[in-house]
Amino acid sequence: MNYKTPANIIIWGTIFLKAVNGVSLKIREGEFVAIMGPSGSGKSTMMNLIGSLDVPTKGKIFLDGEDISTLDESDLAQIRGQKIGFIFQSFNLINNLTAKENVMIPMIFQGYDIDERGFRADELIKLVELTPWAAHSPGELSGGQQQRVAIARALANSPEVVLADEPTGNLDTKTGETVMDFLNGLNKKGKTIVMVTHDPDLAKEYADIVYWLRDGKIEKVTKKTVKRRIK
Amino acid sequence: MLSGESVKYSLKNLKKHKARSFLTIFSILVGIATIFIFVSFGLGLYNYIEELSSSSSADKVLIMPKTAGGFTSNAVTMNDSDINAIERTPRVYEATGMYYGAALVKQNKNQKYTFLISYDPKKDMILESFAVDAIEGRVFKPGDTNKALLGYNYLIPNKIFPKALKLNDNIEVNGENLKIIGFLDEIGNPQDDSQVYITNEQYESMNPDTNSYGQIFARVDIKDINKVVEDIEKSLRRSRDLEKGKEDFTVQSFNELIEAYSSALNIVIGFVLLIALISVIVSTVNTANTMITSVLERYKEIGVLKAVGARNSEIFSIFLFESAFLGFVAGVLGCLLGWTIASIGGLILKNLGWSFLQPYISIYLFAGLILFAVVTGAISGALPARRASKTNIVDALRTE
Amino acid sequence: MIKDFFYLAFKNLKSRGIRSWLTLLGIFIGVTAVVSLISLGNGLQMAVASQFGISENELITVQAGGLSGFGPPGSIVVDPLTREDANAIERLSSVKNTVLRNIEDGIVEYNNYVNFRYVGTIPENKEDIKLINAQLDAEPLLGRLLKESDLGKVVLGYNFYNKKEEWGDKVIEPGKAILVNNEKFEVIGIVEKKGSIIMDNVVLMLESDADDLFGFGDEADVIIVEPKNKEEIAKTKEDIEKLLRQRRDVDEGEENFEVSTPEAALASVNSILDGVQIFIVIIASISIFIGAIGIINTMITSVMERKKEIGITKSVGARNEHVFLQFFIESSLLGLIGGAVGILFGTLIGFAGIYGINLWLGTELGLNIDFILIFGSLFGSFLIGGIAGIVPAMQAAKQNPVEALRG
Repeated sequence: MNYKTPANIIIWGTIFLKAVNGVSLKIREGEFVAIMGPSGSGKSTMMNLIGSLDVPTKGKIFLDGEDISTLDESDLAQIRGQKIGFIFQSFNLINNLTAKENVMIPMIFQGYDIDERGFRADELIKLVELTPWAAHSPGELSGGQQQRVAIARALANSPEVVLADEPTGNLDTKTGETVMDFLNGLNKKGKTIVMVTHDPDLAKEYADIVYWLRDGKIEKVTKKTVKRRIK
Repeated sequence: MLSGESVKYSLKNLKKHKARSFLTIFSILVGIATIFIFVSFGLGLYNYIEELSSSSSADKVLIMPKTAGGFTSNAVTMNDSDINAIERTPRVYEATGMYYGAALVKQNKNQKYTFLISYDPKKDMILESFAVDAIEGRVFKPGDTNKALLGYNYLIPNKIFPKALKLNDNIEVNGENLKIIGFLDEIGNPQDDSQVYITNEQYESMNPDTNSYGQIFARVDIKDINKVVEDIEKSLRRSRDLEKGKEDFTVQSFNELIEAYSSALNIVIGFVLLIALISVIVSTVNTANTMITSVLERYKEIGVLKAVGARNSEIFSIFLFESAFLGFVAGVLGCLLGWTIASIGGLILKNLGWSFLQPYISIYLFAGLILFAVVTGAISGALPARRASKTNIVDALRTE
Repeated sequence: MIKDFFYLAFKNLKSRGIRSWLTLLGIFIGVTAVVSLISLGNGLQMAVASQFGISENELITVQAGGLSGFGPPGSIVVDPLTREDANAIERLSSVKNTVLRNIEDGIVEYNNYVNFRYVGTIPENKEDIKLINAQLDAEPLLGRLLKESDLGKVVLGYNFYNKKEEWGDKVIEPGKAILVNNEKFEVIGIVEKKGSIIMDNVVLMLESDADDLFGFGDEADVIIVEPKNKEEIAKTKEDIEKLLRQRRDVDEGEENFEVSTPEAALASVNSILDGVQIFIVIIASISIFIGAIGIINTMITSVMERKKEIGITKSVGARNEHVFLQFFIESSLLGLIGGAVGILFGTLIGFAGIYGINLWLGTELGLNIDFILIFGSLFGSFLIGGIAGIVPAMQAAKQNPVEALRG
């Protein structure tokens, strides 16, 4: 894993469902990127492509200089595990595992042994301030807490990019803010974050670059000139 | 209770989960087929024994020397004076003695050890008991000397000898050359069908030291046959000068003997049926599993149905019907499979020489097993169906 | 990593509660049936072997040709063996000693009760007696065994002493007298319990006494041969066969006698028992098969229900192989657990069966644990579970993460 090289993701060509047409974007290390658009704009499809959850029917995706559009599912999974951390709108934790076990799961597939995993998981849970809840199952946690576990999980293998798909979609405003603060904090420390959202205010507030999507095409791109927290 | 609509709904559901329905049906089917096979063979055996106990043997009584365990005894002798004593017993029509021993049968270089039985042609009772006649040639006539009557298998090449035997061939038995005057019809098991029969006179001339019959057959009055058996015992005790309880012989009606065999066979068949039943129990477990899963999957659906007016009893009936239907299909298919295998099995057994073991197929067997399968299916689905009917509408609808 | 999958699988099975239980139940019943049947079958084989009374000695038995199985040796024969045959065999260089034995049906009377029992002969010289006692493996429980001078005396099998209900509730023991074929004999010993129906009910007397009663003269029912060299028992067997062929004027392949080592006789009976056992086990295996179908069913459902979970694990880096392994192991675990409990119960039932055989046949079989059976069954259940899970696991592995996450 090469932290130094920028994560270049370039997409072009026609993609399945024709959701994203002729889109090409580059994401640099340390950036906080937001992909904005109403429902049906193709932002989820974009997210899936960036996150290598899906492959384009036509066109290429480069990750770390490597063309991943032709890899098979297993290899994609490996790359996902190493380089990308996901945060979903509906948290997507595994219900019959504890919070700590959820955080440890990604590490299993990269071959960490059990002591390392436990140690790292404890650290990450500390990071998201959920240490007293480590042994609880998702069913016993609030929405905000679950999302924080999801963040810890996303960071398990020290990925180059954190992809967040509507991270605050299922949370109330206050909890949502807490979660966004965490993400912002991560970004300040240097983590590349790509967030998909339908909330323009959220996008403008936190992201360095916002790609505005409509009907599968990039309508405009805005950059933040001043990084300022709007209360 | 169950409307046409509900039935259609159930059937659609079963079809939707084809894999699961198929697997459930398959597991019940295998159990049913197994039971079918064993019950049909059991019934077949039962029928065979019933036939044996028919009129041709019902009036026969067997008197044999007591032994320490084997089939023959050198300790006890039975001879003509015993026959006389037996014939003098009231309601005994006639009695005859038979010898048996081992025969070394030779055809050129091939030899085989087999059972040798002799009887008195004037008073045949053994062939009568087995209701068997000569299929080629004839049975013994009084005055036959140096003749042999052979069992069915001698007619078949490579069954006993490589070459099949023919009428009027010579066969060497214990060193004596005898002419074959007949072959008996198939009795149905390899041992009986390989027997060699000769006349009592022939046996006595080949074994001059013999001083005892192997057993004595008597033909008696069928009515109250147990009393006749007792009377024969009394006569023999008197003629042999023995006290009661110290008999060195046994007297049994032919049917009593057969019953002993059939009860042993019953135990074996019962045991195997028990095992087959275990398969059915496991199938039931599978079916219950399937139904529980089905209920869980359709949790929301059930909530919706109830919300639009379905009563608890209707929900219950729907699920119960589904599991019973699975049982029904499995029962039908299982019976068909069992029928096929049983029939093939019967053919194979016939070829191997065990033709008395044939499966008995009847419409009642089919009906009974199908009913059994339906009931089994219904029982295993009952609890899950009950759970389904008690679904709380609000909780169910809230499920994603 | 594999260890983690086991842990995950275990957690999953626990969380699925009753459905896991039902699936386990299916395999459990099937395995119990098969294991108990195999144990019972083994017990039965041991019981049969005990009836044969195989001693450690390698001895050859010679019988005249005839129909075996319908009585004791020599009962239905065409051309009996004789004393001269035995003497001729003894003169062979590879033979150390031969002993004639006769077995007859005797009428035994005691306390005015009559029962039919086998009478076995004991030879009348020291060497031969030693050989017979070794072959019978007979130890006296009460009194002593026969010596060559014990004319008019008998030694009885254990049941004569133990089953007094057969003799009007009066116990037969050394010092008492019994009638055999109306001749009086003094009981001087009772043999310890052998667990063999034949030995426990036998009357042993000296040859000449038996000859007086039964008149077999020079005929022998069975000839026991002790080879000079145990290692060369096969060659000794051949020598005997050659000799007898010559004496009885028969060609090879046309023998009217049988020379056998005890193992051979037992082997042929065992092959019949094996056949029966295999048949019954096949029937019982049907239930395991059905249990396996239960596993397939459960796993297919499991995969369907956990579609989302599969998507999640794939999104955090699980390769197809990992997903496959996880479900495969889960399914194998189902088989293993069900099988383990089934083995436990099956073995217990087997023990109960052996206890029953001991009660019924009077044998003294030990309760032994067949480790091969246990390990074989454990491995087998694990394997069956695994195989049942292959297709569902493959289905799980093939899921597209986007589809799966959509639920």
